[in-house]
Amino acid sequence: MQSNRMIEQFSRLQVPTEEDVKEYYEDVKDELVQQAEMGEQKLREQIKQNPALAIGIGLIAGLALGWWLKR
Amino acid sequence: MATSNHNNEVAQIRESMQRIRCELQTDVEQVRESASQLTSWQYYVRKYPWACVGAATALGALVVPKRKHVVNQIDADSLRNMISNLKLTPKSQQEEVDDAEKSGFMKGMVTFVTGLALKAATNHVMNNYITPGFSSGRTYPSSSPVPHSPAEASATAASHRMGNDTI
Repeated sequence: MQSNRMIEQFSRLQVPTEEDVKEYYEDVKDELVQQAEMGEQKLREQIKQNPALAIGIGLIAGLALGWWLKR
Repeated sequence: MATSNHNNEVAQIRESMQRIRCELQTDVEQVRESASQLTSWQYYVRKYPWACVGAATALGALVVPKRKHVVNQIDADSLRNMISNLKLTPKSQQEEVDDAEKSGFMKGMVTFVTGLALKAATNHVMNNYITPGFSSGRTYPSSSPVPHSPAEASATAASHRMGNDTI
């Protein structure tokens, strides 16, 4: 939504003010944080539903990471 | 009147006891469930999901061994580094004495055990596979019992000799 507003401003050849940019930045940040929180909540539920799978994936990821770092 | 009051009290006490028994049963079941829950790893994963996944990841990363450094061509610098990495500390006199004592004790033990084993093997071979009188060149009559040891063999031979002398 906010990005559309910025694009509209740019398309009208209006230079956004500092306040506009700050507001845009805050909006985008809030949106990203909200998305991340939703994703984290979803992932947490998935881990609670499939604990063995989550542990296995974590272990494999750790092995891959260790292999990549040490080897 | 007094008996009816007494009966009422008894009934109330019975009811309360019944209630307590039911509550006790549910309490025991709850305790059992919570105990079984505490021993299950899935409970901890559900309670601390990110910590458990992170711990599994760390464990996986720690399990991977380090790559061994293989030197294909040894140049002078790497050789010098290798030699400097070697910790060549001379042994103290006491350590040398201890080592010598240990090696002497071990040598003695090995000699003793080897001697025992050789003796047992020789006895076994002599008793089971070599015919009696093979070493002395004597033959024993079929009626006489077969000696099972060199001592018995010599005793048997002596008795035969004495018998021959008397005849």
